[in-house]
Amino acid sequence: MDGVDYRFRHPSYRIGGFALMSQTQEAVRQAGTFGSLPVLKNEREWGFADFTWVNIGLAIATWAFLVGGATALFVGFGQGIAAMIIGNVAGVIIMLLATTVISSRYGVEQYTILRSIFGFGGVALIFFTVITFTEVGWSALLGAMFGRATAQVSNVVFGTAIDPNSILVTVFALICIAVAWALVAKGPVSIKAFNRIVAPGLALVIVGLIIYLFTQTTWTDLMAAAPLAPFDDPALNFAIAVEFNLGVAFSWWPIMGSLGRLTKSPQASLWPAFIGLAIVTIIAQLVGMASALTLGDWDPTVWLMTAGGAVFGVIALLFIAFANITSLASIVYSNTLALRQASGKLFATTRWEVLAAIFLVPAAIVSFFPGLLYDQFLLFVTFSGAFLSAVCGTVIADYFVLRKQRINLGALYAPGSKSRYHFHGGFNLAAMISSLAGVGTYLWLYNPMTLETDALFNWTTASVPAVAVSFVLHLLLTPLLNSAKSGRGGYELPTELESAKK
Amino acid sequence: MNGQQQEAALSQELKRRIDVIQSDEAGDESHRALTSTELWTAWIIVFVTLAIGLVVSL
Repeated sequence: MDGVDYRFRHPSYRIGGFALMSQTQEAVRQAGTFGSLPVLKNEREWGFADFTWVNIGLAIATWAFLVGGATALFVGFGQGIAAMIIGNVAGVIIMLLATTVISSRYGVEQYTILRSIFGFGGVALIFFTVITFTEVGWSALLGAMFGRATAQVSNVVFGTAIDPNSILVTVFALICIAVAWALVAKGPVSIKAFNRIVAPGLALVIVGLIIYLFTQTTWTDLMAAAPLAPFDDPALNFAIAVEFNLGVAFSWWPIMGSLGRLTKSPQASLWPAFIGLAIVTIIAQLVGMASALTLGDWDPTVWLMTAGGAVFGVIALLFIAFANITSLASIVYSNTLALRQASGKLFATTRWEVLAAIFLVPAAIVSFFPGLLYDQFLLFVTFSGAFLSAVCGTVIADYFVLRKQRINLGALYAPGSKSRYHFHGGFNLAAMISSLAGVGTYLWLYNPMTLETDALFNWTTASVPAVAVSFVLHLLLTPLLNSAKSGRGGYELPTELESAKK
Repeated sequence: MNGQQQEAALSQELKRRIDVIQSDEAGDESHRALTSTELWTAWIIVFVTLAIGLVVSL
């Protein structure tokens, strides 16, 4: 990032009576871009338009087509439209209120912000369980999709016969991961530059697919098309389709706060992300669903070759493969930041490139089983959603209601027990219990592993009650476990601006 | 490179940045916070969408 405070380049700038050495200057610059330092207003990279393009680039990656195709497994086109709108609009807004808005206000990435809600230990626990599972899964999935798309192109152009689960798909996936790593090593500017090319290109692919679909089928046929593999109960199918799309919306949570810190205002973080992740996603998913219903296969790397012939298919797949790299780079950037914050002193001095590589190792290992995440896509997305929706409910209750959008920045960075965000030995029990209660509510209403559901699930879904339970319980438990008298969490001082406790 | 010097520089820089952001926050509260109108707009969109979902599922 070039937007470093100009004072660091001015020769008169001094620390401790000594001129800053170039290496020290570089260390401070790196800490702003790749580390934990808050980003100042004049260093923010993304205004409304830039962040809109970033989110459009994220939204119309292959996963949107994949989600659209997976939705078609359960419902037809009419109910699919409703499920996508409900799941994405409601889920994305809740998710954004728990991520970008907070990070943008303070210029701090979300895993540092979360110390004020879960405590230092709580953040580490969440990151190394829920977030690692979710993000490694998505990274591996993107790599596998890149691999399958590239294999399909090779099969058409060079007449090869690469199987979707062959070792060559793994090799392509590893190439995708390596290129994404190289992009991330250069920082957020390179991701922005890539997105400015990829996002408009993918928009053209979507327009091309829409034209193709309406020349091949009619609106009446599309509305009458049967879902690909539904359950017997239509109400359950619709509820699962909504829940699946809610899960997709919540699955943005781990990366959005880290991107939001680079936006120029909360307004420039909330609405562009909503436009990209909800509105544009819905359009891309609808195209994916319509294609799957028309062509009878839910995997976009298969139906894209059928749609429009070899030339269009090859171009579309190449663009989508390219887009997967930018999506993966965004995931890796955010999670590398998170890894540094959540790991305490373990990776505090590790070089940024090395840290990014460490994050990618598990994804590279999963890439050796390219069919794994494809086959368990519904389970993966909804299981992630169980945890992320509950965390969102807790975060929103804490930040908007209890803290009234005010956080003590000094306390976020104060070491261990010297911080008022240390809570009980590094864990905010109120937040942990309320989040776990939210997860429990989710699993009681809908168990993704067994597919067992409670009767209420058909009307309420599982994510929405999970958000509500964790939200309400956190409001109730906080005064009990972190009373004003105890001073834990600094809840008694919602409007103070003083530095952290010394 | 002197590790202590680098650590001191980072610590100093962190403190400076916190001061800048909190001064900004104190000087113009509405500048950085989401306004209640925006917040309510967001929640209304959520609730209306969920209500539509309930109607569709009925």
